[in-house]
Amino acid sequence: AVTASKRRVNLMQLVYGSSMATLHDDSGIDSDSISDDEELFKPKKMREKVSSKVPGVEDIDADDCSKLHFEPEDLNDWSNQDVVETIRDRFVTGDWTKAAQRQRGEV
Amino acid sequence: MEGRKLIRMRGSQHLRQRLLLATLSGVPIRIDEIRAQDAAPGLRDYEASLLRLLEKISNGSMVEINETGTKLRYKPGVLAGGRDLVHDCGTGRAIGYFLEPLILLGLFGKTALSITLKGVTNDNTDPFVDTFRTATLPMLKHFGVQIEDLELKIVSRGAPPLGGGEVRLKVPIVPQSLLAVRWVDEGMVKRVRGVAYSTRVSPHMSNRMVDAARGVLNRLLPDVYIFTDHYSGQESGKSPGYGISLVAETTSGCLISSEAAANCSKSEEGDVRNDKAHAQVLPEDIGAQAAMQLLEEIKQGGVVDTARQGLLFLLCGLCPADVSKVRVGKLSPHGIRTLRHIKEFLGVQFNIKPDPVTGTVILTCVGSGYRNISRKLS
Repeated sequence: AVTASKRRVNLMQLVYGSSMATLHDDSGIDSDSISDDEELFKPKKMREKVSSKVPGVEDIDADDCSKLHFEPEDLNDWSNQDVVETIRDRFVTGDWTKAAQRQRGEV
Repeated sequence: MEGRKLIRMRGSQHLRQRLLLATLSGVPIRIDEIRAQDAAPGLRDYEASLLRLLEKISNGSMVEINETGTKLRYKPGVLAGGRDLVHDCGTGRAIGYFLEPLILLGLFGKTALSITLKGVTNDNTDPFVDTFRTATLPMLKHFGVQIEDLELKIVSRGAPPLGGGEVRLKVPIVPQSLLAVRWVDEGMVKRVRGVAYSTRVSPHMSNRMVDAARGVLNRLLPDVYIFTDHYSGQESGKSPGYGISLVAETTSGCLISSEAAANCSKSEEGDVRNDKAHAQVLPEDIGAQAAMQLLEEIKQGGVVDTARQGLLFLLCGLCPADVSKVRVGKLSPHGIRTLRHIKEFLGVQFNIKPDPVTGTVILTCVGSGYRNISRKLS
């Protein structure tokens, strides 16, 4: 239960940040002058490293793409039948009881 | 909605969605430092093309760009819609790049939108027009849109780099507002459908992609049917290419999709297309890759696939002030930025909760109460 709530805070924080974090948010409105001063004395590469929490999210010139490009190493090994069987119950050819349990939030 | 006078932003990231939300909320925006550090700073041709498209479908919008293209001021007009409009998207980005914001701009216009878009129909950077038709448009049904009036027709195909494709899009208006959703049941995958296309190459490429995709998917499901679509002559555009689009349909009406296109020519410098990895791939690789990506999406879960998270969240944010609840797999960077924009422009913050049992994420919000204001303004 502790882990779950910790993760929950992390997701909200990851997306919206703490209320103080809006000062450094790339889409912030009132704080442009403050963040500009910050960046003035840091080389660009260093600035990106410091501000980057989620790759691609904090880069102000990141590509505008809705598609997530999967590198081969990001994918599971779907040529392995055992890996394929791990999602059997997501299909009508699998165990319908298991699928129903999934929707009810049970293991 | 907040009575904002102006929103200031930086960089070229998520430009389309910023323009979209500025237009829907009626708030002017100013964007600075557009690719300021880049070897080629400023707006790209396709972004200028998008701005021209916005001007075509609205009345009274104003766009100001500085000399180097690194600063943009946009004052939105009233969304007008329009009949039998035509827009040449260019070849810098595929037609899918333009379709994504256009669908919402059309829904909230004064009159219905019918428009011909010309350019590249399929590449690896932006959604295929096929998948837009089979997986994106049907999403709108859940939010109360009359999908019988929604139409995307593929008149001709166009592969990168030269394009030459054409589609016709029809979007009805939402007369008042959307309907909030409770959409968390992924269901079970009951069948897979798809399209394998080829342009200016042997049609046999499509058969090879289909066989490879089926080889992966038939291990889980017998009902896999992939239509082979071979355009020839003028309807096959100006460049060689082939690719495959797959959609898994579930028992609860969800559509999970994946796609892959072969790059038959070199990318140009400064081109966003991330095709370097696909330089010498075989049709078998393309078919297998799309199939494996589909399995990956199914494993991650959610009522939509990764590429459609952004639109899903936008639709929830644009609902009446009722509770919407949706489930997605892992949040993508694009999804995260979308959530931030929805808060910035519409004042809607989602409650985001991981579901540890399924490894998915449940998002809940109260809609902004958005209504189609274009109908009332002249």
